[in-house]
Amino acid sequence: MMATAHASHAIRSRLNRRGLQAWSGLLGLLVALGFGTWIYQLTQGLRVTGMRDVVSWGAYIVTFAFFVGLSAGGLIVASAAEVFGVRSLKPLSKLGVLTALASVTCAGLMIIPDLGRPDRILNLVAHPHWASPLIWDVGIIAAYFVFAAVDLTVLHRREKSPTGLAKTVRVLAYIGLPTAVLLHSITAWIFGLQIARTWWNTALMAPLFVTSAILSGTALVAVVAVAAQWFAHVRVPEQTWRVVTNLLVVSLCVDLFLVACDYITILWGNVPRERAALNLILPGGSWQTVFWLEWIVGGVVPLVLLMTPRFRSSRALVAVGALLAMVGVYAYRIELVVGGLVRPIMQLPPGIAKGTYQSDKTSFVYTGTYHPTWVEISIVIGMFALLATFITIGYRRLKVLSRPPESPPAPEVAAHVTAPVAQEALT
Amino acid sequence: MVELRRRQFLGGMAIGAGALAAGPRLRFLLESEPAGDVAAAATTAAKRQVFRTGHSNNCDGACGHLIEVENGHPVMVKAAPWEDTAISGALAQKFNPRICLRGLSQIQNTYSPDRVKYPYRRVGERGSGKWERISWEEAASTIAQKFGEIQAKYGKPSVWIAPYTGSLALLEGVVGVGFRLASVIGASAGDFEGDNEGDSATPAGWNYVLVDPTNPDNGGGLFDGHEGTDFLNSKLIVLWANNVAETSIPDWRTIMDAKSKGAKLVVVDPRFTPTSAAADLWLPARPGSDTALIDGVINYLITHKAYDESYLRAYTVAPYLVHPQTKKLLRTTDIGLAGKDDYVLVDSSGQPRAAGAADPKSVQLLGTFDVGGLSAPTALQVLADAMAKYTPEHTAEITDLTAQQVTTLAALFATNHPVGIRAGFGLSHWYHGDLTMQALLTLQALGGNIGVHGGGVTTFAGGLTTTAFDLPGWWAPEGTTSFTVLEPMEACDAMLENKPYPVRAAWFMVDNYAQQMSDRNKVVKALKSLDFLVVSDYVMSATADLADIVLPACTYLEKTDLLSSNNFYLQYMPKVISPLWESKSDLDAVTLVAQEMGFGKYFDKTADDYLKDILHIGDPDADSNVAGLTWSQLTSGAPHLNTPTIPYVPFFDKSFPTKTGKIEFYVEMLVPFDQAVCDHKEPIEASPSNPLFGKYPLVFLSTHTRFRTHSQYSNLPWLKEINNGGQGFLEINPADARARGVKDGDVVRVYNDRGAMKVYARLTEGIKPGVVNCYQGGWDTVKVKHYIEGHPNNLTHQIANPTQAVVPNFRSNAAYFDCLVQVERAKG
Amino acid sequence: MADQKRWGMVIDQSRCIGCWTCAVACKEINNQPLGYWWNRVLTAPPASSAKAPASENVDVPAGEFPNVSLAYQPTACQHCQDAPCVKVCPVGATFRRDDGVVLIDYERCIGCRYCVAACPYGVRVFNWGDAQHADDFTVGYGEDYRSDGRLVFTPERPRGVVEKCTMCAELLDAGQEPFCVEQCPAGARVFGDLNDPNSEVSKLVNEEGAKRLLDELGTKPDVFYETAARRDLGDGSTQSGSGA
Repeated sequence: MMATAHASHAIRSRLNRRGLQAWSGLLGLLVALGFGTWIYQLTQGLRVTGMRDVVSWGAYIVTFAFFVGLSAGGLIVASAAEVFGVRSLKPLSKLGVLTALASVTCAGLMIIPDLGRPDRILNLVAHPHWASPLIWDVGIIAAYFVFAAVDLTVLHRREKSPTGLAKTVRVLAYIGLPTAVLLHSITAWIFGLQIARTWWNTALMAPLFVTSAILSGTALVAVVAVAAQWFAHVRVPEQTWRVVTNLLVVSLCVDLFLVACDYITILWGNVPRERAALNLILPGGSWQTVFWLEWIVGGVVPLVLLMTPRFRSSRALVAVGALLAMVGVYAYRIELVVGGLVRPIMQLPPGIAKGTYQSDKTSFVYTGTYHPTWVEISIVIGMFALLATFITIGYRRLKVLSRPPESPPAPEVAAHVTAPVAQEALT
Repeated sequence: MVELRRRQFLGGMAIGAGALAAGPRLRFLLESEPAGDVAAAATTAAKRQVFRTGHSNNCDGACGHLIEVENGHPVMVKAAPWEDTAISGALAQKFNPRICLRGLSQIQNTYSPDRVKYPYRRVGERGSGKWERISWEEAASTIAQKFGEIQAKYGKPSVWIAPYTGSLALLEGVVGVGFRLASVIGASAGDFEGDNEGDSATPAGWNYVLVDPTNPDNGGGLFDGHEGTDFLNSKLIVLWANNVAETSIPDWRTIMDAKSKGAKLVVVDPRFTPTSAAADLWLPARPGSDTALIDGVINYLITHKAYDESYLRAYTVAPYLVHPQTKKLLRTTDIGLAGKDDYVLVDSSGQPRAAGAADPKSVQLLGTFDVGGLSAPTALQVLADAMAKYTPEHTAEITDLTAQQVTTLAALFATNHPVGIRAGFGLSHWYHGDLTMQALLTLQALGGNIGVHGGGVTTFAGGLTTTAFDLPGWWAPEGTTSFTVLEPMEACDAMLENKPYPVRAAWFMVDNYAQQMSDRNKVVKALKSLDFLVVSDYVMSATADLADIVLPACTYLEKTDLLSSNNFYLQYMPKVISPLWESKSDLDAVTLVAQEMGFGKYFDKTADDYLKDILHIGDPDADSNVAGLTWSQLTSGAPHLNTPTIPYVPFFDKSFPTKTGKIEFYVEMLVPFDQAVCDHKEPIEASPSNPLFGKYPLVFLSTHTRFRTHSQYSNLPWLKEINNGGQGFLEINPADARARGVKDGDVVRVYNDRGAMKVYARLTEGIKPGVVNCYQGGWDTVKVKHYIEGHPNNLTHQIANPTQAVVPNFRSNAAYFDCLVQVERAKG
Repeated sequence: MADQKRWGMVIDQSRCIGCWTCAVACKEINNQPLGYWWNRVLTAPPASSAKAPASENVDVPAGEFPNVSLAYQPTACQHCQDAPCVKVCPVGATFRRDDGVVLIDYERCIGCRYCVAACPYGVRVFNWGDAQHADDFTVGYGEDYRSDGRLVFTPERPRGVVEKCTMCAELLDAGQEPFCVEQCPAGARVFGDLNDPNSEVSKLVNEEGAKRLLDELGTKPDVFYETAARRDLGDGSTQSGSGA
């Protein structure tokens, strides 16, 4: 029995080693491709993207907002463990902070290819204009990056001297939670404060961003954890899984509820200017794909997977559910960014100058269109690969998940999880 | 070298770009400040030369342009100022700077990739687009040789020179050097001064009523109108089939200023154009029913006695008796009245009097009088009788309006004076367009609105500028006889059927005959049948596509000329830049050919010297309108002519060059055509009474758009950017579209027995059901296609109205709009 | 400051015929690349009607034949007092001068396009690539113009920055009017000092009730729109014209 287990472990280890090499190679390739594509974009200008006036933000900003969500979510998981005493989440604290750090780094980097003049990026520091939500966001991203780095260091150190840093960890958690909420709110306000875009201009924007951040961030942690368990033979306690799964369910429900609130408000009010964007997204509209991705692929399906006892007992299926929930959140980001831009507030012919010229076409567009080009897809994939690289490296270097003991999980872990406080925090 | 003067004058004052933007300011600088100071101020700024020129294309605008030139390129076009004074120095008027989107696109036009850059000889089939570049010398000698051969074989008029309205400048285009060449070599030529493809019906009507075309003093027919600014004097402005807001954009300001002053604005148009949108009253009458609407108003005025009695007595034939049998105006000899032969009027006591002996204040206007055994009605009575059937209800029935709309319009005419009418050339695109103009003038005569400020019926203004010049001497220099006139409407028959004589060669100048002439399939067939075809153009037009030799022409910036059309100002056009590539002005091209043909002696002057001759500069016997003009005055600004009144009003002295000297709303010479008075006639084709209507139930209009001037500028990038990418479309009412299963943006086939075109459908409630419209002038060339297939002129016809022949200068007209089609969704 | 000017413009929609001359004039003087329009002419339902545009095509009237109406709305930068673009610019590249003119410093803009998203009027265009022109030489004003040392006009805007109407700041500062005002063939544009109660623009705003676009957003533009008054012909057949 032991012998076969050991043998299979050895095989898996060997496979994992080769797998890791392949994984690293793939990531390196994708990152290099993305970077190369960005260099190409630098030589051509943003005309090689699918963006034009009207839909002037696209895959880069969508991905940026998505990464911000991932980062805030990871930290919220980590901090919740301390702040709300959800001790069953503790095993995931370090992973949460790692994904937070990796995600916020990628979020910050994601802005760069979107800039027309990345060479002038230091103007953000040299000439900050404090009225701009974008400057607040730059500030909070920078602060968050520093915070996550410090937190990760502290958590890492704690593993060596578990007792000494407990207070620091708690303090950091108390700072981390509101910082994460603020990071997400400010990113939401980039959109939500804009009177020119009725689709964005809702007070729901910040709560929605926070909720979807918790959803996507937790989902990322879950996916990484399952991957780690699968490939690195790491075992995450059952109770932790249950909490994570519950957190996913709750945040997904709240997220969809908030989006639905927005839909219903617009539908019932029936103001043409506000209906314009929604009509494109609802079934039948030209952007309905994002609707199906958000509500079915990223909504109903993961809910079924995460709530049906038979399915949720399978960690693989929970991971699939988490992954689909992330797809749903990404779809929501598309819906948000593009939906806010496709129908300009002044719906008058001939529309808006495209900023591009075709000799036999009008230079104006009434309803915006957007199809990301290979350049954007390549850069975005490169950025996802970079995120995965950061997490992989961090995971390897910092041993964010402890190797399972050879023996079954210690009983006190289970005791922690059954503590009433944990239940309360999540219901 | 003289032509450089202007350049030196302005060029020497190159000033900083920043100071150049305001026209009036610039003028102030130029006129009042010593040149040295201005030049000094310029040392730190980029050097630019500034030229004032006139934009000579035929949109009616006759705008003045200020052109800034830097490093040999024109880099800025903007509206130029006008002189506040006449040639004589007398104060004239303030004339607003004029420009529009087309004028502002002229740099692009000049450097367009569609330009013809070099002379070419055809090497493939006609229309195959295969060319071989040749030298000007070779081109000129080939043309000379071919023309000589053909003239020797088929007679001198078998070569047809066709300088056209693509340019309204003096030395080229519609009054240009082509006519001089035709006279010199004995060729035929057309069209000239006013007689344009679709623009001669209303001028003919104008002559019926106001001019005696048989009198040699009138040169075969005149045409003029009120100066645009005269609408400021109108109480009611009626834009009859005239989309000023799109086609004569710079005139819009005057219309709006008049409206601000309280004038009411009426627009008659089956389409809800930007002009219609600005109207106080918009009347979408059925196309082709205009005469009936006018008749309804006339009937209202007569039955309500709302006409100007004293005006009618003094200045019109209203009181003149009409012979009941011959329908001619009654003569004293017809009734044996003593004295020398004269017309007959009836005095207050009912006694006939010779016109010369009657007291004009007391003659009878209405009634039928027994004179000399005849029961003779007055001309006004004849009119009244003919108009009696046009009750508001009957008029409404014919015009598709309501009786209320008819009486509203009539009441406006009855209660406002003066009334100014602007009638677009759209009215002229009808078989009976002449009749409509006759009716409008009749209506205006009743209201006392002719020859007064703020009145008149204006289609074109500025004819005076050409009558004041020595155009006969320009067209037929001493020692030559004037060319044989062959009109565009007659040319196809001459080419295809040798009627009235064979035409085997042609030279088109600024003329896109193969696309812009009606019944295009016939035109293309005729042109392909020619032995030799030369086309001078600055772009590779549909006509150039068919040529044997294509010659590169200049745009208005590359040559010296004069613009004196469409308003009452003289605009010298200096050569702003050197001709691009190997382009030459028509004057230079014609000179080369004439030299090859051995007629060089008639073409031995510079452009400036010709202008001096034509304008009588330095001639003490010069026409009063240009008397005293000096060369430096001409080249340093745009002065107003010495007109008797400013704004200019035709017949301001109420002296009419008719047989009677009166306004002849009773047109004696049209008795044989049953058209002595303006009784409505249905269109020759586009009428529900036409049996063809069952098969082709839609009236097909091919109007002008603001985005081009006929076929010029159709392919300019800026204008295409804002005009659907240059893609043509068919305006159709949603009701008509629904009936045919056509949705917005669908490809439709428009067809009749003459031809077909394919184009995108554009649904709009702005067009009357039963009417469709496709903007004409898009290109259908070998390289460029602005319609999916064909051109509106594939559908139009060449049926001429013989009535117009009584006015030699306006004897035939293409009735573009008098056209029926059917529309269906194109398959596939 | 008593003599501080506040430049404003009133566009008389009752005179506007949608001819695009102002837009082409703007294109010319500013050497705008193909595909770029700082100024465009929108087909607008008349102000009094709550109708939506009848079509996505220009020049198509609202209503049903023959009860139709049509108006035009030339639209360039509205030079808002409370300009969303100025507020959102993270580097202060977009700014509002004391005379009310909103400008872009082409040397500071980082090309984030937040202002493009923030502008309710859709008047900002971004330089997606190198400018494409119809001619191979530069047309228009022709030289750089700096306001307080900041590059607010240059004949070729660099790739990657946002550009828009400058109200012809270079002409204003030389005592002239914006080019579109000068070239408008309908006399539909009135320009002047909103701080001067006797200026024509002030009168049109204060007495004739010229309106702002999307006034409800509170951006407080210094560009105003005058709409046509209906005129009664005295017989109940009043025709609604543009802007009626």
